[in-house]
Amino acid sequence: MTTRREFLSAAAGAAVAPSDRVTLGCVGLGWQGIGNLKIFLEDPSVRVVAVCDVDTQHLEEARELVNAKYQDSACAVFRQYEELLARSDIDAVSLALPDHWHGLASVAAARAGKDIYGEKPLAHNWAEGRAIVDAVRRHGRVWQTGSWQRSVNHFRVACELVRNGRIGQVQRVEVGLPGGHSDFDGLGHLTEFTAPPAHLDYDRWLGPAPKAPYCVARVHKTWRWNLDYGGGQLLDWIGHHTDIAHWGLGLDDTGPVFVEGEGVLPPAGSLWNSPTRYRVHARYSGGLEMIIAGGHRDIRGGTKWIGPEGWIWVNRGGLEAHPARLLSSRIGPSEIHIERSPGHQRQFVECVRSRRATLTPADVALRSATPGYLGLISILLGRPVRWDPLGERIIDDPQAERLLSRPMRSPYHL
Amino acid sequence: MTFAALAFLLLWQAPAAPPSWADFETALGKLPAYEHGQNREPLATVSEFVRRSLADSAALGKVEARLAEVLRGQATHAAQDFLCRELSVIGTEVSVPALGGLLLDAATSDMARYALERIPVPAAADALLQALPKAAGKVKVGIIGSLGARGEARSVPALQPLLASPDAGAAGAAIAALAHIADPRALAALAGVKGALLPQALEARLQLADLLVRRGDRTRALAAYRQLYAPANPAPIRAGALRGLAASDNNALPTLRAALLGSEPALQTAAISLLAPMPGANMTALLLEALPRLPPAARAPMLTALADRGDASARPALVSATKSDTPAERIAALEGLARLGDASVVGLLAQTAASATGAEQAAARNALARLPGAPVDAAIVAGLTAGSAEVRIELMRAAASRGLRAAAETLVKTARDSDAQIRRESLRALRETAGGAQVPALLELLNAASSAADRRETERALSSALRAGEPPGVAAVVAACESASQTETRISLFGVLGRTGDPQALPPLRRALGDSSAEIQRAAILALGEWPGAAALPDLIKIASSDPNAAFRVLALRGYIKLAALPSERPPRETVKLLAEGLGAAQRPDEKKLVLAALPGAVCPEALALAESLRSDPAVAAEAKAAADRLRRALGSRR
Repeated sequence: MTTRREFLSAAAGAAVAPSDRVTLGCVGLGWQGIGNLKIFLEDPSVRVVAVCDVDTQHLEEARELVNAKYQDSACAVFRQYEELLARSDIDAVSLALPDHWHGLASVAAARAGKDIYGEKPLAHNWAEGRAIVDAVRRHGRVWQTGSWQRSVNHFRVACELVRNGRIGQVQRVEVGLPGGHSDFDGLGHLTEFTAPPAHLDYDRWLGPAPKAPYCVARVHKTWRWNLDYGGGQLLDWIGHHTDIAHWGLGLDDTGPVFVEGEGVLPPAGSLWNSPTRYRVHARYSGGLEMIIAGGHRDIRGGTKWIGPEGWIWVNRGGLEAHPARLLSSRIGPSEIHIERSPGHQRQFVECVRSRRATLTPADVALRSATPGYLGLISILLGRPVRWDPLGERIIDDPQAERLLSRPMRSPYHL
Repeated sequence: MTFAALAFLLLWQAPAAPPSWADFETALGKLPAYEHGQNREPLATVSEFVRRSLADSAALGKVEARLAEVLRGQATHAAQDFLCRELSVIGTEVSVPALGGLLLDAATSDMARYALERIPVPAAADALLQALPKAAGKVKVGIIGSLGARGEARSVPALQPLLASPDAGAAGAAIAALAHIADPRALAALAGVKGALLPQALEARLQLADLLVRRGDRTRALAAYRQLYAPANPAPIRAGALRGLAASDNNALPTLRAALLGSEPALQTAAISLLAPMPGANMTALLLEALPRLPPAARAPMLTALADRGDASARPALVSATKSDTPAERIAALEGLARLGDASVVGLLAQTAASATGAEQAAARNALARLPGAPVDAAIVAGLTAGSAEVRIELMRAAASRGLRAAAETLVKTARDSDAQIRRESLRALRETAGGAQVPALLELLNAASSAADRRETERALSSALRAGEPPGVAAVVAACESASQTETRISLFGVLGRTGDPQALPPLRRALGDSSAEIQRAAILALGEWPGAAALPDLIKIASSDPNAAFRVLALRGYIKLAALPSERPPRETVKLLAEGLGAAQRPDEKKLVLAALPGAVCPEALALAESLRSDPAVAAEAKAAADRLRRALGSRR
């Protein structure tokens, strides 16, 4: 008789393990990864069996957390995810690496037959995002993107109200994201080039990104302000508020047809070289306009849908509407209902069991991030780009098309 | 001239003028000596000049030629890195010789490829192909990867021999590269791989078959999928091939059917997900036929898939599965009934909701809340008055979840039940279902309430019913308030009036402030403190400032601060004025802390000044600092 684990891991040809819990390996444990790990550890239907990081300090912290939780010393540690993925007793992985590693690690995990909880944005660039989507589909994997706002009730309520026409046909969406470069741990001034610390495998950390001298401000957390590794505030947040904007509009399976971005770029050669202040204007077929802005006072943080009969605004801090009575509007049984989530990580685990699509599958995450990828390209080139959301290609701009992907440092390749 | 204007003039810097060609040349002159960590000005100038030249193809050509020229000369690796990045965007065949010259040096090869991989001219591929046989190690692997990323069909003859290379890195890279080249020779080359690299080659063939479909070569793709679906291949590859066949072969149904009814779990998993979205009663019948043959672990996903189809013929299977021994199957069936159920399953769902626990109970309740249709509504209303208390209560919750207006009249009746739990659930459901028509009955219920709990629930239901904005509305409550003889009832009605925010409700509350009963006065103050807007602020500040009763002053002040902090259209500085007035009436640290907690909601310099002014008060210094810090951050981020 086939057990649940056989069923889950059949695509990877995995062996049967004694536990009936979903076994999880966690890769990337520096910041978001450790947070995700803590949530997974609280789920009794999950057993974390292995952790992996290129920084042994992160790795040890994670191992201690896992072993303390389970009161044993069984958690395996790896410095390279390929070794973790090779373990056939692992059903699923949580990937929380810097963006420039998303494509390689995610594709490898899908090929290894693992279901994947992967962080947002889906990938460092559009082409790697497409590779992830293809690999996940090809191998029939369950994927949840860390766009966890979809699992928070008031975001769901906001989207249900918009989807059910409470403000009429939406004409404009304003998406307010942060601007600037946050210096999370106050280490941003440490830009002097030094030898990397012994606990960090720096060459592996760089991975497919171009070779560059080590400095503290380049790596943990603030890597996202350098375009070799991340996409600045725009791409860091696109998987939240733009994702919610798409969700409310039912645009999970399409994208803009025109994107024009403008932004303040630090001088060439700056360590933190992503736009500090930016404004992306995206137009969708049918005329819907979306403004995605960071550092602009006229665009309120969060997502605001504007229609002929009012507006609805949502952010982590709250949900507002005009007229206010919209918020007490009830969604009837015959209207569109958006699935309630038991928690983002929990919903992923449930989908691993049921094989249903999660709230944020990979293709949806790619669609959510696409206005950001295109907006960044437009900012870098100083001109608008036209996009074919069906054929998924930039129209009549070969230079812009080059920026949809990024060549990898050897020996890395997809 | 004001100080601000003077400061502006002193601090303002005119935007830097765009770099000229001379600036560009000067920067280019400095560039070859650039090292990481040095002054980046030459990079900034060159980069800005390139950006400004993007719209002018003639100028861009000249710029590219100069960048390539510098790249050909002596330059540091840092300078070469920079130039390769620029050329990766603007490069043409003009840059290829310079870039090609860097390909075989391990220190520069990656960045040369960074540009060559992106430059869409045949000469770039030529450079990579010419370097390939001379390269070794990581350099070779990188070149192979770039040829693959470009999808270079001309590179297949050069890549094929590498599949047998003793250099595992090169052989693996060649397999990965061929997977990106939509050319039949690439497929044939991969089909010839044997030994340790076979798993990687099978994966690459699958990937390449998908690529061929996207490029319109369905015939070759289908042939590849069929080969990969052969029983000798590993199950994950076969499952991937099955997905490919389903997406591109119009005659794949028998293959999918066989996979579904077979014994290989990986293929069953794939077949379920592929067949479930296909329309038609025959398909539902096939899935139902397979259901009992599936391993237990696959049944729950199959039930979910059946429900997702929306074909009612699967309903009996779902109903049957609600009795399964396996919790996962029961839950999947109940979740499925939320989409596939009808009025006939209302009783089953209510029974399950009443008797099950955890996820199963949640699934049953969710199904009751979601099942669409008037017959379902009717079944729920009919069940409110019959059956066990537990089941009736579940149906009351369902009526509430659905906002079922049609249930309100029945719920008004069940709210008089002798069972306290039934009464309470009825009143809770009325919060979500009652409208103006139920206001008179709710007023009666309030008057007749036999316990504080019943009174509280009825008060809430009444408040909700008034929100519908239907007659008789607030006027009926005002009238009831004027004629009520019981103090408890009047107090409840004050609470209801306070929450309405209706202008008609203010006069009776103001009159009650002068009532001879301290209890009534207190209730009126509390009700004004619930007012959902600024209209009650003058009444509250007056009491807070001058009422002889200290307890009333505190109550009124707390209500005042709460109302002043409500979201409003007024400018933040006006809110700060209101809060400052409240602060003036505050005699205890507790209320001062409330003001400080509200201040960060009104982001403006005046709020910061008020918070700072309280930092010298030792009783609230910590809260004042926290408020000031938050405001400073908020004001800073707005800049």
